[in-house]
Amino acid sequence: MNIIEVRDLKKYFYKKSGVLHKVFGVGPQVIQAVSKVSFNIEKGNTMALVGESGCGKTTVARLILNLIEKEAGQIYFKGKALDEMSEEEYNDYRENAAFIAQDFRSSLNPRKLVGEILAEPFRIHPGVIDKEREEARIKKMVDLVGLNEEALLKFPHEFSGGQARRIGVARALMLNPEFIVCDEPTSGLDLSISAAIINLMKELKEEFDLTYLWISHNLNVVRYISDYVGVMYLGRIIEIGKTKEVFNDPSHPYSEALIESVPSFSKEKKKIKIKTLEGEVPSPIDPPPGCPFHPRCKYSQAKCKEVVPILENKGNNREVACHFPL
Amino acid sequence: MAENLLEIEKLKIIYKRREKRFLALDCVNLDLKEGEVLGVVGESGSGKSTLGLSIMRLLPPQARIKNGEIFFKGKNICKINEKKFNREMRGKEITYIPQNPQSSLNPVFKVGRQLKDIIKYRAQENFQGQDINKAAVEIMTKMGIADAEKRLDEYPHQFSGGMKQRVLLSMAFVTNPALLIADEPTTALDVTVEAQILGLLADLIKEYQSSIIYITHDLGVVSEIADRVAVFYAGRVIELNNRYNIFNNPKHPYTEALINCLPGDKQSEKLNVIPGEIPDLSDLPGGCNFHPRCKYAKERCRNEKPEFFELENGGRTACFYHEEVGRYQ
Repeated sequence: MNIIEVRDLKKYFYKKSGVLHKVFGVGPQVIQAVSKVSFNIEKGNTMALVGESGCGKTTVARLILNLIEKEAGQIYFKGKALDEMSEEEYNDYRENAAFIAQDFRSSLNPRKLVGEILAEPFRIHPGVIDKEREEARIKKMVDLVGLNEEALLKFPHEFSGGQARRIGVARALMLNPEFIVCDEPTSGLDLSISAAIINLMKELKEEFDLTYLWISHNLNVVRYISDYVGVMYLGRIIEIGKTKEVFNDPSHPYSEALIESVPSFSKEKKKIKIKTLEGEVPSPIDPPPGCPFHPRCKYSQAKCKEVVPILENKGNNREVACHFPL
Repeated sequence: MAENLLEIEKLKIIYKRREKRFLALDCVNLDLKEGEVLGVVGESGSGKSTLGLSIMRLLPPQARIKNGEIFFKGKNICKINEKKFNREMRGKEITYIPQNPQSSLNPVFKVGRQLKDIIKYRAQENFQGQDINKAAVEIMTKMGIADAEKRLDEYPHQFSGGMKQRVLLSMAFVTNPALLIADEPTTALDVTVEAQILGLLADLIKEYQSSIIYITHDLGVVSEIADRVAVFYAGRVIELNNRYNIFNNPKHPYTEALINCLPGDKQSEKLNVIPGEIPDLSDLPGGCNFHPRCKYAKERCRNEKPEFFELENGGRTACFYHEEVGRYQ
C-alpha cells in the first residue's frame, strides 16, 4: 500500500523585483524550485531524496507536509488527495505525518522547557491521548530516544547537538505517527553521534512500523538507511529506484557522478585521483533548455540540449529521466 | 634525513572563560616534513582548529600557550616579534584556508583588489617586475576560475561557494607558501564541488610542493588526500601513523571506534556507536581521556596518563593496551 503518493508536484518561488529592477524593466523572477516531481512511498519503506543544495529536496518535504502551498500537482495520503480531504481527515493526516526539522536548534522553542515542548503536540491535537496518560507517554518517549527524565525540566540550550536531535525525534513520535519526514537528521553531528541517531531511527522504525522520507545529502547515510532513493537535480527527480541498485549501477549520468564524487573511505594504499564533475549547478531562475544536466554531462548529445527528458520506467522499479541512460 | 619543516613540541593551550580553564591542547607533539600532507581528524571540540590557529598565531585573546614550542624552519615562532611574524610568515610562508568561504572574503571590496593586495604585500619577489594584474589573472585561471579577468572585477557575493573557495586557494598559493593550513576547507560545499576542490588541491600539492595540514572531521576526505594522519581526542594526539595503517590497522581504541562508526554497505549491520560523550575540557577524567568510553579500558587507564608508544610500523599511539586493539574484529 502506498502511504504517500506524489503526482506532478510543482512549486515556484517568486522573487519580487526591486525598485531598480522596475526602472530597468525587469519583472519578478520565477524560481522553479520543484518541477514535476512524482513518487510513491510504500508503507514500511524508507525513501530517500538526495541531491546537492538547492535541488529542491527540502521544498518537496515541506510540500508533502503542506507547510507551504504547492503550485500544482497532487499529494495523496493513503490514496486520498490532500486537497479533497475533509477537515477531520486532514487533521488525521497531520497527526499521522510528523516532521523532524533540519535545524534542530531553532526547531525547539528556546523559552519553553523540554517537557512543555513535548506536550505541545497534545495541545494541537487534543483527544489523541487521554490527559492522564500524556505524562506517561512523554516519559516513555523520552526514555525511548535515550534521554533521562531530568531532561523534561531543562531548556533546549542545555543540550548538546545529538541530544537536541533526540528531543526532536521524541516530539515527532508523540502522536504515534505512521509517516515521518526526516530532513537531514544527521547533518552537523559528529560521526559517533550521527551513528547513534541512525541506529535510533532504525530501531524506532521497527518498533512502531514507521515509514520515512529521508532527506539528506550524505550519500553514505542514504545508502545505509534507505530502501528506495530518488536523485534530484534542479528541482526534478532524475533517477529513482531501489537504493542498492541505483548505487551499484546508476543509470543517469548525474547519479553516477554524484556517487563517484563521495570521498570514499578506501583501504587502498594508493592515493586515488577523484573523478570530478565539471562546473556547478545552474541557477533555478534560468535553467538550461532541454535536459537540465546537459551542460555538465560528459555524455550529452544534440538532443539533450533541446528536449527535456521525462522520467520513464526502465523496468525493475527503476525510473530515469535521460535520453541516453547508461 | 631532511629536516622537518614544522615541529611542535609539548604544546599546551588553555582557554579561560568565566573562571573556568579549558585544556584545549595538551602535550601535542607533531612534526611535518617538506611536501607532506598531514591529515588532522577528530570530533568537534577535540582541538583541531586550535592547532591550526596556534601555528598562525591567531589564537583568540582568552587562549594562552601554557607551554611548548612551535618550530617552523628551525625558528621558534612563539618567540618571534609580532611585527616580524606578520611581515615574514603569516600569509606568506604560512597560509591559511578557513572553513567558511562565505565569511572569509571582505564583502565590500572587489575580489581582484583583495587578491592583488596579497600579491603586492606578500608575494612581491615572486612576481618581480611583473604586472600584478597579470599575475592575479594567471593564478585565478590556474585555480580553475574561467574568465578570470572579468571576475577580478566582481564582488564576493557574485561568486558561488565553490568559486569563493577557489579564490581563497589562489590567495593561499600565490605566495608559494612552505606550509598551508586548511581548516575544513570543503565542509561547507556540496559533494561534487568538494570533489572538484580536492582534485584541484591534489594537483596544487604536486606543483607547489607545499606541506599541508589538512584539518577535517571527514575520514573519507582524509583517506583521499593525506600522507599521514593525526587523530585528535580531547586535546591530545592519540594516534599518528601513515594513512594506510590508520585505516587498516588502527592501534588506538578511539581510532578503531571512529572508523567503525562509518555507515558501510551492509544495511543489516548496526552501526557502531562510541558510548558516552566527549569529556568536558574543563573537567577531564583522570588517566587516559578516553577511558570512560573505551571498551579496552583497565584499571591502569583510570590512573595513569598514557605516553606515546612507538609502533613497529612507524606510527605512534597513546594507549597502554594498543596490542589488544583489533581483537574484537
